[in-house]
Amino acid sequence: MSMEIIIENLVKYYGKQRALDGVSLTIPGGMFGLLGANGSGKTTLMRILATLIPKDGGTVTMDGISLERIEEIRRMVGYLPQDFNMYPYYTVSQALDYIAYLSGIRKGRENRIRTMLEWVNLEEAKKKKVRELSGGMKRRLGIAMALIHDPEVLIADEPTAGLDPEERIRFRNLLRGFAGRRTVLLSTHIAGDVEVSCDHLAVLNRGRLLFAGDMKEFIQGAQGTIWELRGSGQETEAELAKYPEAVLISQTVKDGEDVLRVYSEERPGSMAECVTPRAEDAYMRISRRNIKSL
Amino acid sequence: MECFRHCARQTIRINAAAAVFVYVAGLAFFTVERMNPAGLIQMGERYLPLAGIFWFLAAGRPEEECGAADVIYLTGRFFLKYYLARLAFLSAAAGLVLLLFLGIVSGMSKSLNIGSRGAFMIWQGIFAGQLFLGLLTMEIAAWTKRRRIGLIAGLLWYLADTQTNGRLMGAFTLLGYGLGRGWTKGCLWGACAGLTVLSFVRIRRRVKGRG
Repeated sequence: MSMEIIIENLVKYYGKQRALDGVSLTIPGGMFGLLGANGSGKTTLMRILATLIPKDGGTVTMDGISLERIEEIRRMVGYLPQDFNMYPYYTVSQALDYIAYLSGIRKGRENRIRTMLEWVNLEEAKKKKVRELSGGMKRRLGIAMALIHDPEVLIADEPTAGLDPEERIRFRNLLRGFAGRRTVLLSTHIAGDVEVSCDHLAVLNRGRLLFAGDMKEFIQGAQGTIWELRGSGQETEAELAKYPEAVLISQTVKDGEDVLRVYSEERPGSMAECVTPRAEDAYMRISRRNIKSL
Repeated sequence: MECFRHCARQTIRINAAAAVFVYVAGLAFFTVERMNPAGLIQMGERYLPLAGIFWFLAAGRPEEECGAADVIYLTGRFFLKYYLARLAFLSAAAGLVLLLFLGIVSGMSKSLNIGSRGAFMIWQGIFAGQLFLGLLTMEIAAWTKRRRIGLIAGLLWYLADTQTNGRLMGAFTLLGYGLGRGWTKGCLWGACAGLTVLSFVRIRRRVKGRG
């Protein structure tokens, strides 16, 4: 039985600004995605869960343990921050050794470091200085550091941001491999990353929870509202202009034709064909509906 | 041993190199005419506290500057002990280098005979200034989150003190022995203790997730 994180009515202020506004959420085991635009409160939520900043209201428990029991929680949590880095003059193995040492690992540290290096595929770079690592390698080092004490929960804040496609896939697989019976909380603003790696997700906007549930339910919610318009640029744009409520999601060119992918509750013209939604579409729909309701 | 290795790796780098430069430059001021106890203390108090700024400048928040703070602070209580060990290590390194420097300077003069008690008084007098200026610089850099501001503040304190011959800084002057106010060394040691506590409280707040 994997552990659950239960968040109830979580509130956080920065000065007078409400960064989290009564967020209630249950995070089951496995991969859990946290989607939201910049400034939606994802990082704040993650930093609270990682016990790096205090909350101003609400309750959080991990496997029944309250967040206030900070030392127990920290033993259970590994955290990879968005802007992770390490002393630039440390080598990869020195960095891991240091964090293992600070985490209280005394015996068998070398073996543990070797295992982690193998797992994140950094064995060959173990003597490289941190400043010489690429963005992806640095992120993998971050994961190894976050997991060196074998936590139950991994909190990764935008771990794939800025990575090239190959490194992004490698990184997603790495997280997926760790998840197993444990919990990985993955925050991102890239809906595609969540779609391919997470079974459950939550969507935040301006500190409020817009959605929490499983991926299928999330995507199915957008069924019948995502449309494609094909034609010349002028045609499609003129057609779309008649439906001010329609929201353009993407615009591509296929076989010499413009293809507009659109979210609209009603069919935006006779050119529009209903298509199967993806996570990105569902995300667009849910955030658009929220803007309307504000 | 592990702690020692990591402390050494993190502290004896740029800081030490810059501090050693201050000592080497300082040698120029220790001329033969000043090779007497009074000359030694006056020159030492006036120039060597500068080395403290460089020893401690980067010690306050290297984790935050390089972006490793969150991951390191999550290790919690142990990091607090480690942080204090790092400050102690840095102080010991600075104190030993100063001792070595004074040994070299006194060794250069056959006529300089200050005895072990005198040597200790000179060493601790200069070291109190170094430590105070270093900790002050480190704390200001940490609070403002700008190393440059810490450096400027430390240098301004130093200049304001030495250029006014201790009038401006009063009990916290770096030039106590030279001005015949040995009691000010007690104030400097007290201030060092206060700054260490302050720095520990600051780090503790961050580590405990309250800052």
